[in-house]
This record gives sequence, structure tokens and C-alpha cells, in this order.
Amino acid sequence: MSAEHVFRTSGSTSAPRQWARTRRQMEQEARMILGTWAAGVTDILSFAPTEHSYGMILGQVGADVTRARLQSCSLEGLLLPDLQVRGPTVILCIASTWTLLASLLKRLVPQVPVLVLHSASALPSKAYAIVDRYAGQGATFIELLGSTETGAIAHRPIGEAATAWTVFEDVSLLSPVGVESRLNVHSPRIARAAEGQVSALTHQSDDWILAVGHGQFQWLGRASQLIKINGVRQDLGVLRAEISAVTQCQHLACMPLRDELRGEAYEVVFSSPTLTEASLAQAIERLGVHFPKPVQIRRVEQLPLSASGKPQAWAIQQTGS
Amino acid sequence: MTNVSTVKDDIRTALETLLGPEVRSIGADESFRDFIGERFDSLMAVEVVTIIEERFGIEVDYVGDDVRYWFETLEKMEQFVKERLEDTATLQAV
Repeated sequence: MSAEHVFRTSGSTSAPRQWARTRRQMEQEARMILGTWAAGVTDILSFAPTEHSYGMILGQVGADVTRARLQSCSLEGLLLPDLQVRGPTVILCIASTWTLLASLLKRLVPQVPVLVLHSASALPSKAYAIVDRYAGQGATFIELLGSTETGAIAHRPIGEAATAWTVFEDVSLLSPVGVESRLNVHSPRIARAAEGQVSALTHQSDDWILAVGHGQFQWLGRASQLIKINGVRQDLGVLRAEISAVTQCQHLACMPLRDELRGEAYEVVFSSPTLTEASLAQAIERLGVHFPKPVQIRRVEQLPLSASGKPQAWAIQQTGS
Repeated sequence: MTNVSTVKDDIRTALETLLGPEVRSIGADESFRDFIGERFDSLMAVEVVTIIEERFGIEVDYVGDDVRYWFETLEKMEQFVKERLEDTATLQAV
């Protein structure tokens, strides 16, 4: 692998951005995380694609630095791992992985210690029952918070949803204590924007947090329209613009939803005298196979627009779900 | 508990709520994956398994069951569900 690896994100506008991580940054992150919770790891089962930093760093680079065997898996493609593992095993989860995680743990936990890492999306609610069943029986569950721009920033044990996040040892939390604000960190692992000459040392992310001191914070939500569908970042404003363009419908909104399988998803709510839910679905199909599909399309009687032409939030909420 | 004779209809009804009325037009031995095709996102095949689990109160073991085979056509799904329901009934009778 070359000295730098370039990742692409959709960014907070419609223009995709590129971020370069050095090999050294990625190795540092992989060693720190796997060394902390998975010493002596022999097998990594990765459900996180290597196009994304989480899958690349803890999957491919993690396997390189620990000399573990890497298996690239996919629930969507039904590419399931060989469970004849040799020793301590790490499972890299994204939201959809929890659908089959119990099947994996049932077979792995009696054999070897297992570290389950989750990142890149909200946890599905079924995760907690699986953690209750296997935690303490040889399985450890850790959730990571990070981004393509920053790499892993913070961690917490998976258990109670209200557990505070703790920043990694090489990260400093710059957000003011006791005040709701964007997550602002100093880290040696921040990526270099492809158009820039050097990496920044600080980064303000899209996460909205409450710092509680001692490098800990509560995560409150996102400050923008970004959601992560099964770990892939999507901008609801961009999705709305593209669907509006292809349908010629301005009375249309893309609303975020929690989703058991994908972590987060979205629905399209619209009003139109001519369009139906089926015709809108067909129009979205024309946007191509890579366009993220809504999990629900809902036609409502009225969806008023604001003066700037955006559907009014209060009106959308009143349509119910 | 679901009567095994209604499994076929119950599968179609469950899938209709997920995928729309066009499900009714799929032949029993036609590839379900082809129907899903590019209309839905890549996780829709998993959603199909989940809705069948929920509708019939059964558990699909992604590692132990050959999901790719059993959920390929409506006919195979029906056979899979019937066998699971019969297994459950047998266990409850013991």
C-alpha cells in the first residue's frame, strides 16, 4: 500500500470530497484499538467495506499490523465468514451486521475470545439483547465514534445507550465543558483534505455533543442533514434535490428515520396532484442503482413550502408517521 | 399458530406489505432476487427474511441455514417455513 490512502465522502454539500490518510496514521489507529481490546488477535471478520475508513483501517490495515487473517464479509451479498478461527477474533460490525451477529457469536464464543466493534452508524435496538446475552461470556462489545476526516475519535462500551463517550488517548477534546456544541477535537490522525498541503491538527465535526469533562461527552445528534445509511454518509438535502429534479416535485421532503437494519434511513414525504407513491418510486429507480433508496414513500394532502422553497418542518411533523 | 395450509398466502401477504402489490404477480418458482433487482436497496433481501421471521415467529440462522437457497423463490420459502413450523410443533409436543 502507498504512503497515503484516499477516501471519498459525500461531504456536507453535493460536491464529493477526498481525504488522504497516511499509512502511519492508519497503522497507529489500528494498533491502538486492536492492541487495547484484542491483544493476540488471529482473525478479523470484517463486515465494513474497505472503501470506508473504518473497514480499511481496522480491517485491512489491522490485519497487516497484527498479522491476523482478514475475511471480508457482506450480509447483503451473503458472503459469510469461515468460522474455523485460530484464536482471539474481532468482528467489525456495521448496522446490518447485528442481524446475523447472534448466529456468529453462538458458534464463536465457545471457541475463542471475541471482540465486537461497531462503528459508522447508529446501533439497532436489537443490539442490546445480543450484548446482554454474550457480554461476559467471552465477548466484549465496543462502539467507536469517528469519521473519514478524523478516524476514530472516541469509544464506549456497548450497553446503556446513555453511557458517555471517552476520547482516545491521542485525542484531545476541545469542545467547552457543560455547553452543547459541535464536537471539536485535536488529533494526530486527522486526514489531509486532498486539495490541501498538510493535515489539520484540529477538526470540528458534524456531531452535536455535550462535553462533561475528563475527555468525555454525551452525543446529542447531528448538526446538519447528514445521516448514515448502514454506515454510508448521505446528505438528505442532496437526496431531496435529486429526487425533486427527477420528479419535478418541489413539495417533497426527505425525512430521517431510525431503521433496525440500516441504523438510519429516510422516507420521502410529498404532496402532488399528479404523482403517486408508485410513480415516485419509479422516478427514484431512474436515479440509478447507487442512489440510496428510501425505506418509505408517503403522499400527504399538503406539504407547504417556506418562503425559501423548503418544505416546512412543522407541516411535515403534522403529517404523522 | 399459523396453519401450514395458509403459509403460501401468508407469505405473499407479508411480502406485499414490504414490496407492494406487484409481489402477487411473481410465479412460485421465479427468482425472487430478480424481482427485487434494482428496485430496492441492497438490504431488501435481508428485509424479506426478517418479515418472514416476524410473520411466522420463526428464527432464520444466517450461518446454519442456506438463506441464499431457501429465500430464492416463493416455493422454497414456503417449504422452509412449513418445515420450521412443523419442527416447532414437534418440539412443543415433546
